[in-house]
Amino acid sequence: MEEDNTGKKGEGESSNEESRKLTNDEIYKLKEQEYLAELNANPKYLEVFDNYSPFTLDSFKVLYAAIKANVFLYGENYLKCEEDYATRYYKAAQKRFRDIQQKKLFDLQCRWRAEEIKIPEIGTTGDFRLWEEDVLICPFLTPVAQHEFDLYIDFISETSDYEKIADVDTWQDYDDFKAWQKDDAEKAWRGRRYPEWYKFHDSRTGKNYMKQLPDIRGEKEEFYMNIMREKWKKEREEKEKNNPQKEEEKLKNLYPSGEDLEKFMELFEDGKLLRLHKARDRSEEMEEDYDLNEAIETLQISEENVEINFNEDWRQGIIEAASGCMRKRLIEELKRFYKDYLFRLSIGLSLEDDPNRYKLGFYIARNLKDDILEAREINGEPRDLNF
Amino acid sequence: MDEDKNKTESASERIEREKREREEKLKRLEAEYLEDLKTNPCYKEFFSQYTQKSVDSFIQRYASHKASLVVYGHYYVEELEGYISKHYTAAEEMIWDIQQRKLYDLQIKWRAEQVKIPEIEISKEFDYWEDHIKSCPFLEPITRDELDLYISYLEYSCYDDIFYWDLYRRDFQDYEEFKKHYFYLERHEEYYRDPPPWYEFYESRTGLSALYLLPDLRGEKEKFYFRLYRENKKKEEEAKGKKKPAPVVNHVNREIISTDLNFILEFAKKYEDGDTFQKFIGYKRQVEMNNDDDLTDAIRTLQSADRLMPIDYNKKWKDGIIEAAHNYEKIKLIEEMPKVYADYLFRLSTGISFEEEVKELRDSYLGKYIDEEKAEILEGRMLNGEPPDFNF
Repeated sequence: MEEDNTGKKGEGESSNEESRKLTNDEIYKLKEQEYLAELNANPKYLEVFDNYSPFTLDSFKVLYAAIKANVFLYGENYLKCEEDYATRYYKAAQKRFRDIQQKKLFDLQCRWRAEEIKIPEIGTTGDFRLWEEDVLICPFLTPVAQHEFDLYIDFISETSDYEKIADVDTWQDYDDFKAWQKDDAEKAWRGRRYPEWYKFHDSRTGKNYMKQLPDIRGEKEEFYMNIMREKWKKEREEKEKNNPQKEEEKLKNLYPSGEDLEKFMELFEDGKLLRLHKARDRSEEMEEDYDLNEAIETLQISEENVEINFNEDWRQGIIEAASGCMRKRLIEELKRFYKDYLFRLSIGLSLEDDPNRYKLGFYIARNLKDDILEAREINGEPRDLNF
Repeated sequence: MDEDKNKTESASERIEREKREREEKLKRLEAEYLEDLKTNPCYKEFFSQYTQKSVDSFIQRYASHKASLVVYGHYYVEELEGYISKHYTAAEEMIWDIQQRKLYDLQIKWRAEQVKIPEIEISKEFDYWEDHIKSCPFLEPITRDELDLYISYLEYSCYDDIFYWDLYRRDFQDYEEFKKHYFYLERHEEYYRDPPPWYEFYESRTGLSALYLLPDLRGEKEKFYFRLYRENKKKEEEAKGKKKPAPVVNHVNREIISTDLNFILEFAKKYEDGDTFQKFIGYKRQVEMNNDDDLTDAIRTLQSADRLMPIDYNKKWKDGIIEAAHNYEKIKLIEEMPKVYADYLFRLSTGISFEEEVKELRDSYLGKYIDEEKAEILEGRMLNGEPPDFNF
């Protein structure tokens, strides 16, 4: 077997080298023929084949060769999918575990903005965005305590919609959370929903620092940022005066999708083509219902049979069934991760994921600091953050 | 085997050729549309509102999109329309169940010699009219009352009774089997076919199950003539000293090899290396996830529904989804019935024929079978010293 495998691998590699220009279809056919010939010629298969009626072997061999050719071409993708199914909840737990620290960081941010506390690692509000991305190694946060972990598990247990748990893209965006609570216009262009986990935490602890404390430091930063905005506006106006916009730049872009595409079709094509286009759109819309497909996949890969509850809306019913399944698995994996976390802490192993990854927060913090320092200078103040 | 192989090869060659032709057409059309978009002055004014760069990119994408719609677009339309029209199509077929039951009642009465039907000489001919129910000349048209009773049946019945029986709906006139089913508790005779659920509902509402008590006089007479024919045939063969059949060669009694994915996996485990075997496992899962036709069909049905359907509690999520789709299909079937009936009445009043499904294969088989049975009965009649006709 070992010899065979080595031989096969070598052949596979060299044929890949030679056939770089072959399409997948062509490679598939070649491999299919090769495997079929092997099944017909190699006596090692007779041990199995001799037990069966010879008249039925042909269809088996054809099918097996076809599947093996498919596995040759796409096997790596299948392995990746299997790996994803096996690890997705542990990875989700790794990600969600940070939420506990995010809330602690956010509460500190509110108190820092109210000038209740000073934090040596924090110079501007932008630094909270910096630590948001490295929250597990943030030096001024205490490690996750058992009661904090339990509270988070309670949150997951009590939140039926998985999306409310996982669909949060920013945790320290104080201004956006605040805008969400303001009038509709501001919410529409800027607001981000105050995370459900924060709401749950506030309701259990009785503290909502964002609402309860003033944003003194934020207002001071805003004063300096207004100086910079005024400066940038003047610079822009100056630039426009010197370089008037070209005719071409005043024109809009034409997009080969959505409204632009349909408008073009209505103007220049007959109704039949538009009907075909709409049917295709609808068909794609049905096939690419992301939330539904994800829910179905979750249910399909679940190791146990999942119940579905009554729901007025069948689609929502499926999503909720999947959500229940995901929450159950997430809780199991969070408990596992918490053990790993405590172990790493106890022996001093780093909790940082990947120090080389791109960190947007770094640029946000650096730019804000530079802008404030410059504004302070313009305003005749010392170039430091002691305000 | 070789012949089969050739057939498969030529079929796959045809698929390949059609695929190639479509791809060539796609390329040709794309080039044609590209040229038109670039050179035809009719677009100039429209494009002038946009930046040149975006127009260039639009033209490329549009030509390819249009060519793909022209070549493949009808598949999407057919798929969508299929999901919308399938309820009417199902209703259009099922309305004929009403006539099948009326034909069945006539069969029972004909067998009991209570009625004569010019178009029927032997009982096998009821099978012929079962297949040609839409043009059966000796049935009264469907009345509103009959339709209402059928709709009550649909409302009362579960999905499986309506649709799964319908999947294999070939036997509406199997008198012998249905009679065995009716008398099963009394006589304990084995039967292989349940009567249509519609018949049982019909009998419970009309009390017409009592028809089963009528004697099968005509059937018994046919059997008598068949017996005479067969006994005579046997004698003739014995007189000819017909050779005994050649002994059956004892083939090695080997099993049929399975093409089930689980067996494929067992085979792969034995012969492939560990890494390849893991890929086979991944392949199996993807096939099972992506080729779950029952689930995909249920979801497409619900997505294309004209109303928001609820889902009921179910211990198994997949069964719950399929049940929700089935509920919708049943509702739609009931809604479509009166529309189909209106169309039926219109066709009756204007004399437009009801399109019959082409059943050439069955027709030729059944026609031959009926002719053979008729010939056997006539010979039986003659053997009994009676005239060779069906007046018995």
